Amino acid sequence: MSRRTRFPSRLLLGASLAAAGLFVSAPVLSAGIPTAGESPIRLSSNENAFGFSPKALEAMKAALESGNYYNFNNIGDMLATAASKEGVPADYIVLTAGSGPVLEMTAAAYAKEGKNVVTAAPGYPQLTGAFARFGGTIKYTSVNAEKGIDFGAMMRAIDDDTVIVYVCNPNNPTGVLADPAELRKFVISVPKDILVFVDEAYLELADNGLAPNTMAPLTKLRKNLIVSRTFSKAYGMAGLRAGYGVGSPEVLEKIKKFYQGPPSYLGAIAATEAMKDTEYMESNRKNYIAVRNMVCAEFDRMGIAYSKPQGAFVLFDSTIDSATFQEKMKDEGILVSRPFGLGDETGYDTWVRVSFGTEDQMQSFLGAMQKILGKT
Amino acid sequence: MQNTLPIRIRQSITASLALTVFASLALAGEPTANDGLIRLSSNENAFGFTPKATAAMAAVLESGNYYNRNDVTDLVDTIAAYEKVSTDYILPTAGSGPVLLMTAMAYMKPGKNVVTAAPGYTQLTRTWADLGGDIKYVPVSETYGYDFKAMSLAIDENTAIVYICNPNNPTGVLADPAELRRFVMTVPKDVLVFMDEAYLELSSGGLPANSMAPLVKARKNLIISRTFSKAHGMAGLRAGYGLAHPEVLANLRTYYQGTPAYIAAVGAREALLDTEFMAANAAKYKEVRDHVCAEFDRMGITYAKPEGAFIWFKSGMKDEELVAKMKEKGILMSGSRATAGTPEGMYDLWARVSIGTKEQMDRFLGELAVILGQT
Repeated sequence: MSRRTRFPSRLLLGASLAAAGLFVSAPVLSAGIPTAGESPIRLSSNENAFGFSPKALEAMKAALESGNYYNFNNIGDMLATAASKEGVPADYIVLTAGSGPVLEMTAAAYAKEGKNVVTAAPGYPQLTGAFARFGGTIKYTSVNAEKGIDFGAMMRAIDDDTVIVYVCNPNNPTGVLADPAELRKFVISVPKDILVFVDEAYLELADNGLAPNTMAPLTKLRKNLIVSRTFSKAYGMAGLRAGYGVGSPEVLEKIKKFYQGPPSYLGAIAATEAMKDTEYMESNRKNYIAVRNMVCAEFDRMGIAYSKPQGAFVLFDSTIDSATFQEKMKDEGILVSRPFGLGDETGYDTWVRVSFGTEDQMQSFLGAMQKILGKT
Repeated sequence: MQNTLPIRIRQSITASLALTVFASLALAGEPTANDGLIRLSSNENAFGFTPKATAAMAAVLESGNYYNRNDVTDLVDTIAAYEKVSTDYILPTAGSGPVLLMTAMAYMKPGKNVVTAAPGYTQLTRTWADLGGDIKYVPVSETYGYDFKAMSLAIDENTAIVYICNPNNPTGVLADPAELRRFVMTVPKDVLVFMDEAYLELSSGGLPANSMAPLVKARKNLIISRTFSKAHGMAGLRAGYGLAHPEVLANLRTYYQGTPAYIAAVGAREALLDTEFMAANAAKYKEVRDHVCAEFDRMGITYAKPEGAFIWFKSGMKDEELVAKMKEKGILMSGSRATAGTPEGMYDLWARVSIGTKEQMDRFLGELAVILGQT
């Protein structure tokens, strides 16, 4: 079976996925990206090159043949495990196929013509894109000098028609982590009739991990808060589609009107095992920290500007037109992304986002970059 | 394992799942496979799925860290070839549930109604009502099948959708294909016909004789949904799709929340290609259905003619009581359920039992005879 053979039909599906806002890293939308284990090197979708917990693999293998049953026990186990991990009652959790559905459900539930969502530029556009699709408007606030979220500007952007403030932390595509005290203060001071959506897709990978940075504990204090998590990134299970939202039952009830279902039983089994395997997560985080530090040191040496990465990717100034850089990288067998969620921002023409892969993959990337930029 | 979950969690599962997607399944606290209980409650496929799918999934299990979207495009290509349409007629989803839900979300406007059968499958209509729309119920015929004439008459200027599940759930009755085709062709073009063919592979004549899918090229107001949960035996994996003119799918896409997991796409594709396994599976269903019907005839039990993965029958005992007694015997089944829109109490003495293996059904029939005092 040739996965590399491309048909026009794939382009159509790619386009439809793009229209649905599913895979937001724009370059990946184009069809024809090969699957795992094949060249080119995929540094475009923030997939986890280190893989997932072997315990999850074993558990899925053992359950593979029972897929003819709905196996809602596995969903129940995942729910109980997620609730216990987050320190909330089970009715504070909604299980989904990746975190994407939590973002989509929220947009569908809150969007109305004349209402707006406040977000950072650049920022992750899945929720905001869906919000606009449903007839709402997007109010962008520029990131600060370090390309982190400017919470002061965000607070000032909130107006009578604001229904959601969307924060991705660390921010995607800039990778910058918010100061937890500042973020907490922000969450607490957003008016209670406005939903704060904190997307923590990459937060497990921050230098000091989830515990000091997550806003999930605040869901017990604030009914206007949803935190989303995915198993696609730090847990390394992008293909399995598992994630969840954390929020008060009142706020979850509102978005559940647009609920379309839990993960597959295999996704639930794998997610449950992955949550329990804290040791593996710890080693995965260390892998990311090591590669991040290596790439940043190399960027420093090359004199390449970048924003401080705390997730699964780094945004940097390639110094040449980003589309050209991306094309040349593709010629070298490496896929990278261009910035997105810019609103009407300018100044990112030469900036590029590259996902962190293994050290070997990043060496290939850095080598190709030196070649493209004529640096050694 | 499930039974050790605290009540609160079980209630929460009910709240989050039963609320919408699996609205008509009694989920919470329902044990899973291999726990010794016989599950005849959710129309799961006791015969399992093709071993080719197991092998294909096992081979790619480790690559789950990648999005693997080729697996989904490969599945879509295979579906398009199977349905003899171009790929832009296909929307791949996690089970067929999302197709029903997206349709309700995309077409609902206050004051608009859905025309459906009573009793009938309620996933689309329940979401429609939750979102604020109206439902117009049309009673099933004397033989518990669709009354298409009455359905046509029920369509008014506020009708947005006509929802048909064929064979109907929970009654199991198959529509006459010529009559159904004529009905589809005569529904006004500004009203969407939603054809849920979840169990149709298992019917007499199967898809070739009964599917309305070929009409999607002729009618823009038609959508077909299929699932891999039933005849293909992959309920846990969550794979399905919608089949319609690209303009209809564009409406649904506004609410699209994602493709099946890559592993489900890999399994579903193998299932679709293994037509031999499907034929064998359909033959097993027919054999067991015939067996149960013969036993019901012998026992003097009334039932609707089953053409899917379940039988709807009149036990003569209150449905809750029968379900409770069966559970004590280690058999899970459903009450008359999904009787929304029917007169109060009309189907209280009816129940729905899924088709399992012949051994499972003999256990069920034996217990039923005991419960009804027929021994």
